[in-house]
Amino acid sequence: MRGSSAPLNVTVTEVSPARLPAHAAVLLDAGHRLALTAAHEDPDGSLRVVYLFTAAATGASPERRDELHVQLDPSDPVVPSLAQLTFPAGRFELEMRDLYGIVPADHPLPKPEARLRFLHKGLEKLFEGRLPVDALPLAERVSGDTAVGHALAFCLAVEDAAGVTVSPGAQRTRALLLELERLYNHVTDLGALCDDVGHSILNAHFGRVREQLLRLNAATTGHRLLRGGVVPGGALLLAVPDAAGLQALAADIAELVDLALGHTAVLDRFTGTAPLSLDAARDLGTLGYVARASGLDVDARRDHPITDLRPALTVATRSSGDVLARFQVRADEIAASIALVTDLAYGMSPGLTSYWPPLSTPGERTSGTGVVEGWRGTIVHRVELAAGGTLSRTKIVDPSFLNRPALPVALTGTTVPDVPLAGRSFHLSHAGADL
Amino acid sequence: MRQLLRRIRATGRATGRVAGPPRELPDAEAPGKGPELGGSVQFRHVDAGSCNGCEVEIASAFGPVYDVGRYGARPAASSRDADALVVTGPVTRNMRTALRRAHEAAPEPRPVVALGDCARGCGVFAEAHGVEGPVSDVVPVDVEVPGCPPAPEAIVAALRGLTGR
Repeated sequence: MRGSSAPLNVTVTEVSPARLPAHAAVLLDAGHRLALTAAHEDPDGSLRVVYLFTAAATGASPERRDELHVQLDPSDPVVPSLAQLTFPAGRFELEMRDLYGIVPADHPLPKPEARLRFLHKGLEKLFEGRLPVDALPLAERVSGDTAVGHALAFCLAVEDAAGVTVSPGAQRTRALLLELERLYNHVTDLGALCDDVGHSILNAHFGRVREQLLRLNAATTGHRLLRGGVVPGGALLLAVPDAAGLQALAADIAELVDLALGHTAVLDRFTGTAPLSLDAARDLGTLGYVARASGLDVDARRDHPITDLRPALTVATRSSGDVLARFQVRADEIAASIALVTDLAYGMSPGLTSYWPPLSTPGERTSGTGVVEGWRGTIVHRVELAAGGTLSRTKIVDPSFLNRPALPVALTGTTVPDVPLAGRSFHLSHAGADL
Repeated sequence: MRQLLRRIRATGRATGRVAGPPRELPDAEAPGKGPELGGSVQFRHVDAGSCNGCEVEIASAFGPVYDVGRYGARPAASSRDADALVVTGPVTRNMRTALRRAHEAAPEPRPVVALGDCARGCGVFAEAHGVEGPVSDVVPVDVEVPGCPPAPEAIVAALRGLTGR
């Protein structure tokens, strides 16, 4: 049991490579999505692939996490491709082939082209052999603008693996920090979208609000990018955001959004630009505001809760899937985030709450998963801890990894001057996608 | 339009200037290539493997509050149009050639600013298998800005060292 959230319902099934597609099909038909695929090179030289499927909490039934584990022959590492069943599988399979030499049999691209990975650093390998506290600075820098999102997904996974329960109060502090991160990034991008269509005055105004938010971050955690707020086993808060100040910011931002959408040139450039259909958004496995702007009602804050955010949490969606819809969804999310921060801050006090290190270290390999709705979308981490509590494998899935293939689809028919605008409306993290 | 003008006026009344007052030119060691640029420097930013953290603060430096533009620094969309390079991140193996080409495409004397701890010495990404090395391993570096990420004030001060204003 973790915090105030429902107990995790994780099942692990060992399957043979031949039986993998059938098992995956059953889970996908039951409404799961393939959230993560991780290859492992175990100390004895054997290769193992873990497929993590997740399903949202609905009504009374808690969220589900189901893992399929496949053991491969290291001399002939071939695994049947799942790309025909679900598009994201094909992306994970190319990654496994590039980094672990595992061949996806019957992949839809018979000779998958070399993927460029300009920004590939080899980040996941750097986690290996470290204690979780020593790996936290890496998690905070998976994508620098998502320090809270990735640190939280990492900590949740580590706590899950170590069997540590985090206090409900610390989970609420973490939820608050996650909203502060959403706020400054959404405000930045609303301004940048105005700038991309030539309205630099509004960008300057959004920039003015953005700086206030970055300073609020520094006052809250001691770092403008909110580093240091989420720690293994808990959270650290230097000061609680002031409700009156937040309400003033909410009114300020709402006025700027009205000014943007009340401007015919801005509205005209946003409307109908780079549309992503609901079917494409669903088939490609998109996440976050990209998915919601196309009408997919997905949000890990509700679907995989770490703390109950009702009734303040509202999940904004649109149906047109264009730049306008992505702008509007993010404007709505700013209002929702401020409502959430106000709600969460009520009665909160500063300080450090942490239940780490765990009272006992496991004597054998354990694994854990963390699912978080970062500002770009759902972040998933899966870790394995070796005996002694060091990390033996960390797998990171930033939403940009799954949203990236949707951008060229949305760009079909888009004019060249609108390409930067469309790109900004997706705002992918290449650091998070290339790792 | 009227609402926008009202907003602009109200902002001025409520907070005075959004940007801080201009400061005296910092006594930074004058980098050798600064004076040749004549006080107006177009900067091409190259992300050679950054986590995006430095980019947040570069945006702050060029934004309305820190406003490095008033000291003659402007962003450029291509290194062919640029006088100087601002490089962030440890240089990944896959960005080594791209960075070298971006540098060669800029006209001489093309000073290079290594911005942030990763650009200076790979930061937390040192030892990663996809990392080639710090920026100075690939192109000559003229100015270093420490920090993870550097504060916007530090970025402004470093760029002013090149504009000389």
